[in-house]
Amino acid sequence: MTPVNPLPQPPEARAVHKSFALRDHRVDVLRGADLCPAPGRITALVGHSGSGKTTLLQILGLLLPPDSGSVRIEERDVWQLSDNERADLRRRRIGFVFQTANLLPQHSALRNVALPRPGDAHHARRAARELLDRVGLAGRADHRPGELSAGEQQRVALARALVNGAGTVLADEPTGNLDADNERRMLRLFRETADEGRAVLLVTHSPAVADVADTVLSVTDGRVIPEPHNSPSPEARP
Amino acid sequence: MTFYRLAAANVRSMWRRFVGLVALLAIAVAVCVTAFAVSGRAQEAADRRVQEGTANRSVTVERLTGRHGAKPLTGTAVRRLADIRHVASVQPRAQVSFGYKGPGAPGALLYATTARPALKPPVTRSVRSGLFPLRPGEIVLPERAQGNDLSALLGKKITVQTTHAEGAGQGRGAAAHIRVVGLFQPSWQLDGPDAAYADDTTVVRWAAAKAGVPADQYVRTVGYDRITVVADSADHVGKVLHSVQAKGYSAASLQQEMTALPGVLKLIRATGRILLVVLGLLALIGALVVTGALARQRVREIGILKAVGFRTRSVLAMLITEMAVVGACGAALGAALGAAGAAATAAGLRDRPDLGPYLADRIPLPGATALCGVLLLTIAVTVLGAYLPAHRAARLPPADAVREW
Ligand SMILES: Nc1ncnc2c1ncn2[C@@H]1O[C@H](COP(=O)(O)OP(=O)(O)OP(=O)(O)O)[C@@H](O)[C@H]1O
Ligand SMILES: [Mg+2]
Repeated sequence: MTPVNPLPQPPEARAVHKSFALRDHRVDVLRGADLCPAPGRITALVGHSGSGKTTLLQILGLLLPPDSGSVRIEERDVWQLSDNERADLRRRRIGFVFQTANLLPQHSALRNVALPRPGDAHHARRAARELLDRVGLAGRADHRPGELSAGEQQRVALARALVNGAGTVLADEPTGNLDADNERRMLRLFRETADEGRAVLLVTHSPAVADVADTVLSVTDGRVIPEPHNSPSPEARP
Repeated sequence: MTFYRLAAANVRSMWRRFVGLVALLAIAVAVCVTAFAVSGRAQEAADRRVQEGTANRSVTVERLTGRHGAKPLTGTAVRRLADIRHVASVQPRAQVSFGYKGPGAPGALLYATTARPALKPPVTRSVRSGLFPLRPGEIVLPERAQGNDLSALLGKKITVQTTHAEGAGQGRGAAAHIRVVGLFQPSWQLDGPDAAYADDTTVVRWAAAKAGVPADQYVRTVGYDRITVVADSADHVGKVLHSVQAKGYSAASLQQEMTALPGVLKLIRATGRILLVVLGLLALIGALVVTGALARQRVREIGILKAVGFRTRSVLAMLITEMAVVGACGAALGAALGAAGAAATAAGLRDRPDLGPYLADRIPLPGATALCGVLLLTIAVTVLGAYLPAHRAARLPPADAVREW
């Protein structure tokens, strides 16, 4: 399937290894993981707790360097680029939703959403308002994160990830704190986003999310494998 | 969003968090400004007074009684000394003993002395302001003398014992009446330990009676016992002293006797400076610690900003802008408080007779250069304190930074 718009390619993780040294022992979290979310599709990433989903997502989102292997955008290894170039790629190419919302506590929802948007402040605010409306928080634009519920914060974080129209949206359990209604609403939003030709990668434990996904992959033993219980479409595989 | 918009928004929404830092900076700056202003001003005045004060410019010419060939300090001598180059004024002194006995005073032998404008005693209480020159029949006594408390005599007309000569080496006592118009600190002993200051006519009259000469001939024949020659500047004292001695008079300068004084002043000044520097350093370290702590609280925020695509330089610029604003606020507030503190201190001390003259004429404000220096230093401290931890946080991978609490 070809994307609706010729949007820039999503990042691609190849043979990624990552381990963490914890006091006296080492945890080998990723051991040769490959992952490339497909444009125009929703990819779900599942796996038991502690399997390394968040770690892999952060590596793909250029937030964490892999120990070995590479993350490539248009065949360029992003960890060979300068810090500034990576920052620019994060701003323009990737919308990231953390497992915990990670909003700036001192600013309103509106300003948090407008944060990554460069250029004219007025346009940024308009785009932010539109997105808050789409995530169902039009009435909460002036609230600070502390005045929002965990689910609402997560939706603000999603709006922030979408504000720059990035070609790739990486979301770490975006519906973790939502009721069934709001979960459906979010999934609709993800579907619209994918239909615009963007690549959507969702880390999830929720069967409902996995059900809507076009592809379901699992992080198992430090590698990414197709989830056997779902029926992944073969072309979406990494 | 641009970094400066974000910085402005941060300062607006996080001012509560910065209040402590602003207060710390303001207090430190205020204390330094006050101390510098008051001490600097007083120092300047003290230096000027000591350097250019009449005491430091004076040369004392003594009458050497009994020495062969010693020149008497007559009116002619006064005129001759006044003609010397760089002499600003010549102030002769006559002195004569008298006795006082009365209620509360078992008896004191004092020396009636003519008061010289250059070396006025430190008056503690008086019947009127502008005591000098004294009017005929007036005297200023030390508060205490030889175990007698004389302070009760202020404003009273008292009877004293003077001496009238009767042939060679003989004399008889005579009563005289005089009004006590002022009291001075007994520690003032420039004219000997038991001096009292009376008007010129009275002193000369008593001295002439004791010497057995008519009062109108006393100055011409016996002469004064001491003449103070005041040079026009401290630099000319040496020359004047030399000229006076060249004319055959025995003279010494107070400057020679005060050689130790500047050293003491320097020591006091250095001690003050050291204390101020230590205070400044403590404030500096405090500000560095506080700004550092504030920046460390924001590691997660730095991680978030980097995660959404801010460049390291923008993030640092944002934090530096915020800290510069906070530093500038603290410095400005501190300077205003310091100026107010200096003015209040000066106003409080102005009425004190010992300190007043040093703070008298204007509210002591530090100059524009000093204020700019304080402003820049404060900003530099807050920025530097924030920069190092912020830089470290911005260098972390964003995923690690957002994990920090
Ligand atoms: N910064 C770190 N330092 C040490 N260990 C880490 C670090 N980040 C992750 N780990 C370890 O790596 C493993 C994988 O963590 P990760 O957060 O990727 O799991 P996950 O699959 O997202 O789990 P969950 O579904 O619970 O969110 C865990 O065992 C965790 O303890
Ligand atoms: Mg996780």
